[in-house]
Amino acid sequence: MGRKYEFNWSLLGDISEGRPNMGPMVRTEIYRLMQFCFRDVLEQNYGTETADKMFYEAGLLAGKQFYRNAMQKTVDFNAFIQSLQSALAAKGIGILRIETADYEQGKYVMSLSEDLDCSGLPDLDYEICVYDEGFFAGILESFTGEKFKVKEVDCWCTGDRTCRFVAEVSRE
Amino acid sequence: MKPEIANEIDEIIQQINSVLQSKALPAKLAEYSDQYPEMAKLVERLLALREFTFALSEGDLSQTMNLRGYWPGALKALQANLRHLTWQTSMVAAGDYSQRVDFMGDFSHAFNTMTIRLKAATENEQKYIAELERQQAATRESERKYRLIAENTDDVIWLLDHEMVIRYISPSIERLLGFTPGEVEGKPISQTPLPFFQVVFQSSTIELLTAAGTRRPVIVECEQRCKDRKMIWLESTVNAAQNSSGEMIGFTGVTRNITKRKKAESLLYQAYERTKKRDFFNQLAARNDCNDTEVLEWGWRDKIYVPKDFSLFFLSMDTLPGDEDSMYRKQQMMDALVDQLNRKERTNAWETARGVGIITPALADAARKQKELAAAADYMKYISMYLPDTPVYIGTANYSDGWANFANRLKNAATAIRIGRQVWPHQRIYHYEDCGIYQVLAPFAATDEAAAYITQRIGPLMAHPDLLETLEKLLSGLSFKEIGAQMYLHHKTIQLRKQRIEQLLNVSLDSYEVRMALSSALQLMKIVKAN
Ligand SMILES: [Zn+2]
Repeated sequence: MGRKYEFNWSLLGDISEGRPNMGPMVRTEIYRLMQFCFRDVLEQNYGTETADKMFYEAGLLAGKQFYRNAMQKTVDFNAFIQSLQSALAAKGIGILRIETADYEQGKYVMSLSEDLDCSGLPDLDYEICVYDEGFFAGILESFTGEKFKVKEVDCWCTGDRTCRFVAEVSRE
Repeated sequence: MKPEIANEIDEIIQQINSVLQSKALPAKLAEYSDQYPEMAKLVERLLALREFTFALSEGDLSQTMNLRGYWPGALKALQANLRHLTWQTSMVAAGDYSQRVDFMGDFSHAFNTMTIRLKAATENEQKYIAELERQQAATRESERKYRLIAENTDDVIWLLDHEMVIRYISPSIERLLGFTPGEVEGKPISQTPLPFFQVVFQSSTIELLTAAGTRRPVIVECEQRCKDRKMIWLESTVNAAQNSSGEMIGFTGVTRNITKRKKAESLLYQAYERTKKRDFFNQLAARNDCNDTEVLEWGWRDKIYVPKDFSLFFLSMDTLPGDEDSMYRKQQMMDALVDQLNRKERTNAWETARGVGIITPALADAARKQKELAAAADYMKYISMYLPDTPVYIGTANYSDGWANFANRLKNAATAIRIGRQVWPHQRIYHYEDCGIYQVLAPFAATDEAAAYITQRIGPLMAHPDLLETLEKLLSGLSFKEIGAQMYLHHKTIQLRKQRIEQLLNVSLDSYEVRMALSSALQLMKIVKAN
């Protein structure tokens, strides 16, 4: 039996045709409603660690697809960052800022404010944006052709007002 | 609450406050921290916040703070923003002016305005540099062109500053005058080996060039000696040089060799003068009633200055008849001869159909004829220096006051040569007044009657030149013996010849009338032959 859910950008459908009156926008809490319910069910079925792993991988796939379908193609890194910034802002995902960029080491520190996933969440004492980690890793991998490991170090949920991610080339 | 507890709470609050207020930590803080673990944690967090905040205030963005929660989160957000700004600023410094700051209030606006301005300024600067480079390239190109022109033209281009120092002179100066630019550049014009500059810059030239409002060039012609001592004619075109703000900064000029043009002009002028004189005198020669006043007036009008009383000469040459080419050379020679004669003082010469006419002022005094022959000899000598290989004859006209007999006198001068060459073949200079009876016979010799008369009188002797010669000697009154000696013949032969002549002509040579008639016929024959 073949795959049932293999991802394909066209699965997103033609929204202007399908939702002529409702339009492409949906309230953030509805997006979060689905995401946090998924989290809950996945955690109950597979445990916390596996649930996080699944979210990271889902983000990775989403990042690659986002890069391929929703971003302008660029050659140099700064233009790439600008393109990413404007794409994230245009789609209402969040405000991306680069804090440091070490091209030689392949290490980048970036922050995402007004983040779609976690901004405004209650204090939880742990980082929650695993999906975003995968998402950035997917995008960076698509641009550089190298595998990246992305870790959220500060999160709204840990009391920070911005989510901060450290991305490093994974040379294993 | 017990007063001791209330006191202790007060004290603890003060201790904690001092963490916020003073740099030094109170001594008792450690004591309380040991006593209350939660307070120790609080103090530790406060100190961590203090340290992190202090580092931020010092501009140290590298610190990490492990605290979580609202207050540390706000500080970390500030750190994240500042780090991002640092990164953006380094991008701007590297020339990426597309960086924009959003969501940071007034600062965003200020920063974005700065990058927009920087971008505009950089673009302006690039435009300015590009324009500057374009202008420099254009300047180099035009400089290269001017240099190419200056160095490759035969004209000499030069530039003087306002102190009359030669600032530039093109290398062609060496081709023109033999001096190199190095010999003149940097020197005032009075200290160069080029005196023509001083002629060019006479005060009148400078006045013309510096007169307000004039921008016309001044052209000056003058002669200059080359380094090899040769003289050449130069023409200089001079302009006042101005800088872009209209101030006079010196002079520019172009100097060229016009020797050929000058020569051509001079030849043209000579040809004009020659033609003018030829037409003037030949017109007079065609008239028989010249009036002195008229002639002098016409002369004045044409700037030909002739004397009222004059001696008149006619000059003829033995020239080879030839093809067109030699005709041309003959004409050239004739023109040169006429010009040469006209250069002589008190002399007017012109070309006629068969020779050259010459007049020179004279007075009817006793020695007039001798003076005329001397003048003719003088002309002869003058011409022979110029045409040493061409036989030249000069006939001098009879004298009469004024211009009334000009046409006749000119004919007579020519006749003097014609007769003279027959009668006195060893001379070259003849005077009409020496021609005696020929003066009367000459006009008659040109008529048909003359030819008829000659045939009638001596026609039968024409086939016998020796008899004609003998007849001439018999008519001169010489004896048979004398004639025989002259002709290397026996006197009896002469006697026989006399009889033969009388027989052929059917006359007696002893008759005075016959002798006169035959003598006339012989003289006429000579003149007719000369014609
Ligand atoms: Zn987060």
